[in-house]
Amino acid sequence: MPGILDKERIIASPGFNRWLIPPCALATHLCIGQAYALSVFNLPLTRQLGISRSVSGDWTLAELGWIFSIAIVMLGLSAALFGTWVQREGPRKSGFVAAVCWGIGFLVGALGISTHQLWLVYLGYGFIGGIGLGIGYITPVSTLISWFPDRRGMSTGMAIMGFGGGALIASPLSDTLMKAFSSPTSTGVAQTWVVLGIVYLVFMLGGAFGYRLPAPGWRPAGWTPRPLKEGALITAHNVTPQEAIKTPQFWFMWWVLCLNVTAGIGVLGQASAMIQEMFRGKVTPSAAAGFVGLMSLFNMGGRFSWASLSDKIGRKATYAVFFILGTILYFLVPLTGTVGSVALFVAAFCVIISMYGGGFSTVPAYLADVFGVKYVSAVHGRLLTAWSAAGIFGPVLVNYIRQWQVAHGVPKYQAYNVTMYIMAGLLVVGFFCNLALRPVNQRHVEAERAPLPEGEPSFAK
Amino acid sequence: MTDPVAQREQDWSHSPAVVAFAWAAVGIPLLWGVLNTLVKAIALFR
Repeated sequence: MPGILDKERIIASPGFNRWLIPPCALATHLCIGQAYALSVFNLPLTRQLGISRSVSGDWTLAELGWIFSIAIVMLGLSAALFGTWVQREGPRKSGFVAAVCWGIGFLVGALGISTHQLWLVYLGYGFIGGIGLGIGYITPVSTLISWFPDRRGMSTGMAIMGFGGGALIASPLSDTLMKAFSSPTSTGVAQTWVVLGIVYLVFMLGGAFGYRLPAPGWRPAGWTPRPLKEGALITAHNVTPQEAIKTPQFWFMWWVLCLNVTAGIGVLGQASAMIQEMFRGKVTPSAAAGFVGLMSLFNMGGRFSWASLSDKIGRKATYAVFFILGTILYFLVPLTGTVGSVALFVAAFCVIISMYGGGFSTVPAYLADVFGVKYVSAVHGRLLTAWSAAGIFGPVLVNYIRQWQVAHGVPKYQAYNVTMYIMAGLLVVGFFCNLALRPVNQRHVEAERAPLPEGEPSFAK
Repeated sequence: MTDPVAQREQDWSHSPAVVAFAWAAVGIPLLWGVLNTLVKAIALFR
C-alpha cells in the first residue's frame, strides 16, 4: 500500500475538480514569496541588543544582507539538485519537505535571533529555508502543466504570481506582528519569526496534502491537443534533464531568463533611491515607498497576465515582446528624467517590472513546449541557476555603474542613464538568444514506446 | 484505491465546498496584501 506522501496515493479519481490544484500551488508560493519581504526585518535586526538604537555588538546591515543572499543561492542550488527528485517523488512529498524546511528555517532563525547568534540565522533562514524555497518553487510546476495542458502558461503563471504576491502579505503581516510583540526589552522579531514559521508550515502542508495528479491519459473535457506542425517549437516528446543541459536550447533559454531577470532585479532593489534622485524635490520618501509598492503589484500582475497571454501568442513571441518593449522603455527612462515627467517614469517601470515577473512565470511553459512535460520540474530546477546568477549581476551592475558615475562627477539625477542603456543592451542580446531557439534535435529526445499524450504525468521511478 | 483513508481523501477533494474554501484560504490573504499595498501606493499620486 503506498505511503501517505507517495505519488501513487494521489492519483485523482474521475470527476476530480482540477481547479483545486491552483490554490494548493498558491498556498506554497504565497508562503515562500515572503523572501521578497525579508528587508522589513533589517532595521529591527540591527538593534537586537540596543532595542531602541544600534549599539556596539549589534549586527550590521552588511552582515544581515547575507541572510537573503544565502537563501537565494540555496534556492537556485536546491532547485537544480533536487529537481529530478521532485519530479520522481511527486508534489505531495516535495511540498511536504518544502513546508518543513521553510517552517523549521524560520524557527531555527528565531532561535538565532533570540540568542544573538548570526550563524544560526544564516543556517536557519538562509540554508534550511533556502532549500525549502528551491523545492517549494518547482514543486507545483509539472503538476499544474499536467492538469492544464490547454493553459500551461496561465496555470504556472497563477502559481508563480503567488511568489510575487507573498511579499505583499508578508510585509504588512510582519509589521503588525513586530508591533504586537515589541516591548522595552525586545524588538519582537524572534517572536514574529516563530509565528510566521508556524503559519507558513500549516499553510504549506495544507497545499501539499491538496495536490493530486491526473490519471494516465486524462484530458480536460472537450479538449484535444492541437496537431503538432513539422519543425514547430512545441514537442510531444520528452528530453531528460541530463540530456536537456547538453542542448543549445537549454543554454539559450538560460540566457533568456538570466538577461530578462538581470534587467529587472537591478532596478527593483534601487527603485526607491532612483526615483528620488532622478526627480529631486518632486518625489518624497513616502511617495517613493508607494512607487515600490506599485512595482510589486505590477510584478505580481505581470506574472499572471503575461503567462496567460503566452497561451494565445506563443512563448517565443511573448519573450520577443519583453525584449523589444523592454529595450525601448529602458532607452526612454533617461528621457523621462530630462523632461521631468514622474508619470512617464512610473509607467515605464511598471511595464518593465511586469515583464520581469512575466519572464519568471512564462518560462516553465516554455520549457514544457521545448523539452516536453515529463521532466519539466527537473529541467526548470536546473534553469533557475540563471536566477541566482542574475541576482548577482543585476544589483552589481546598477550599484557599481552608478557609484562610478557619481565618483566621476556625473550629477546624481543623471547617474542611472548609462545603467539604463546597458540594461537595454542586455535585452537586445536576450532578444537574439530567444530568436535563436529552434526545436530540439531528435537525438536528444528520450526513447519512448510511444509519445506521451498531453497532460499525462510521468510515473516512472 | 481500496485504502479507506485514501478513499476518504478522494471523497473530500471532489467537494465544491472544498474548492471554494481552498480559493478563499489563499484569496483573502492575497487580497488583504494587495489592498495594503494599494493604500501605500496612493502616496505616489498625492
